[in-house]
Amino acid sequence: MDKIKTILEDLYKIDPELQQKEKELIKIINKFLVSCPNTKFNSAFAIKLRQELLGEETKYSVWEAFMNFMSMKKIAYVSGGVLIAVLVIVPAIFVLLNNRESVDLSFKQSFDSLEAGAFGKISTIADDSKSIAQEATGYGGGGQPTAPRTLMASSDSAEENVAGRQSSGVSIGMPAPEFLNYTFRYTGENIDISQIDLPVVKRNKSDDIGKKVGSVLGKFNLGLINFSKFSNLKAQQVSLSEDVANGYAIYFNFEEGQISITRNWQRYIALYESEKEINDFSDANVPEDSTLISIADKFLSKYGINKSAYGTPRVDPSWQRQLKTAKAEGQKIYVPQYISVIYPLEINGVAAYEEYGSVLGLDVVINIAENEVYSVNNLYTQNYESSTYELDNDFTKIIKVAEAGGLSGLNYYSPDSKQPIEFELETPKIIYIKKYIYLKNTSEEILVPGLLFKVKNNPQAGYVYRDTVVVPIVKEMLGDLGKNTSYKVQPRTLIEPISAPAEDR
Amino acid sequence: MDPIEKQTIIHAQKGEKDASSTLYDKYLRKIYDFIYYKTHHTETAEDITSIVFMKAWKSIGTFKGEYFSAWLYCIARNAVIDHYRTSRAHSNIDDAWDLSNNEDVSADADTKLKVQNIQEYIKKLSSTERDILIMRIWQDMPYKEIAEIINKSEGNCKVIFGRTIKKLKEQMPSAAFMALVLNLYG
Repeated sequence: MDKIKTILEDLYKIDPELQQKEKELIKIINKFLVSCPNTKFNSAFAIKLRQELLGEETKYSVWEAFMNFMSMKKIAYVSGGVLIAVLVIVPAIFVLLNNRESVDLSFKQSFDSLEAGAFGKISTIADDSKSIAQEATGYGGGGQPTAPRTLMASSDSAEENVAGRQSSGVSIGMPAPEFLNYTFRYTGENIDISQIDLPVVKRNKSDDIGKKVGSVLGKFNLGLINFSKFSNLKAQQVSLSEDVANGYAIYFNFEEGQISITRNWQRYIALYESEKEINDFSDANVPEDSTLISIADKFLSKYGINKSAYGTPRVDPSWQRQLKTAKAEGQKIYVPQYISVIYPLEINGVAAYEEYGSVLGLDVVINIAENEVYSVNNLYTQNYESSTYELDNDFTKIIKVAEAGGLSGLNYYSPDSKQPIEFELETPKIIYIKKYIYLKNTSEEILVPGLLFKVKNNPQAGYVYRDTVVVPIVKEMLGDLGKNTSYKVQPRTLIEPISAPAEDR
Repeated sequence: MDPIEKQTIIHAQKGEKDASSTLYDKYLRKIYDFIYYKTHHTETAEDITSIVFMKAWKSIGTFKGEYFSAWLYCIARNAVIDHYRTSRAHSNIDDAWDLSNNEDVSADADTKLKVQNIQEYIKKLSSTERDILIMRIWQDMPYKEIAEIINKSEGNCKVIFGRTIKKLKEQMPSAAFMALVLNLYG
């Protein structure tokens, strides 16, 4: 009020007649006091200039200012979004505290071209063979591949269930599945793959950001501890959270160049009534795919998440397969509370897949009890290095590898199985396949050109776990596969439940 | 001058870091805000503030006046004018208020929005009249200190302020005039 009084006195000196309208003036003053331009004075700027002028170490109060800056309370709300906040905050730390250097935190794809073969040896054939041999030895059979480990575990589990229910005198044991062998047969067209000209790419996970954050933090003396006494500090990750009900938490892994978002559980209030409500879900509770995609789209758009590296989103269909299987077999229907919308990663317009054939991409998980986004995963920086490797043009050889299930196919074979079931493979499309290589003492992720064969007559229900077969076409990775007799095309196994309970057999 | 500040300045002139640090903490925000009010752009305000403090720290030994803040403000006023006159084709631009909306492309969007209703009227004032308004109303500075900065007597400074307010009242519709004055006081 003192300030208002002073203003009024100044005005009355100019125009005494205004004194008659004092009440109105006070209302207007109060209204306009809040509209003064914000000068956006930044503590980080003050720190930087102080260091330049005085060359001294930053003290506690500055640390507090920094932490306030990092808390994102104001920044998040002003910016209108969580991810915007993290994308602004992290680069801003350096921009404002560290000479305004530009920070390459790109979620838009960029490629640095390296010389041919720059990633060294990328073939893992020997490692795969060794791994398969060890698996076979572990489960007996004189080196003959037998049941996979997962099946052995489920058999144990089935026995426990039966024993547990004996006290009630009611036997409702689940039937143990048996193996079916299956094979793949290519029925597509012959195609000329000699025109394919794609490089191998590797994501550049530069940890410059972590180093820069570390160098800034390393200048602080908190009183409790003096960071400046530690050498060459590097920040590895930072987590931020919205301090509001049902807000989100953000995790930024500097070393991996990865961001994930999930509900901030400390401030979570369930929007649905009870767990029972969820357990009683039927497939009718699940929104249409278009609705789920719309929810995901709105979230990404709201928080300014860059989708330029991703293709058309699709709903992960795995839950629908499980549902159809349960219905077909008269089992209790389980509808998951969380369903993923996948935005397929595209490297220069070419879709990318995991080495077992599933889509690689940005995963937006929706809680269908709330019809809201629960988490966002697999959001990576998109700076790549690319290098050319010789591709294999021998389509016949590639088909043989595909019919064997691809390089990463599990070569388990059950000698007790019925007649193998044959699946057909369609004409392939060109893709990128994610592979891991051992480079400079660390496991590195690369994306190699390859072909994706869709399984044509795959049943829509049942325990078939593969809809696709992928084959890399880098010559070095295929080697003599398909020609070499040691890489035999042999029947594969399909887990199929039997109709009668296990103990009745 | 406040005797404690006088001692602090003497120590700073001898190169004592603690004294320099005290002065820095006391005046950084005021100078930055003043520059921001004249530039409407965060990075420009930060750049010019850096220049002002660099110059001041380099020549602090030459300061012999009554008001240290007035000395800093003088450097700041000149630095803003230098910024616009060296980066623009026209020599008569003193600060961002002289620019039209089309010319002032770098202004922070929120600030541009806030001042758009008063821009037209402030633009018609002289640079000195603007500075007095900013310092007296937005920065709540006493006439005596303002007078030191603009190198006029305290009485003369009061007259200029009163005349400026009256000029605005005549130029603007009554509602707009109140908005201006009250906005300035915000």
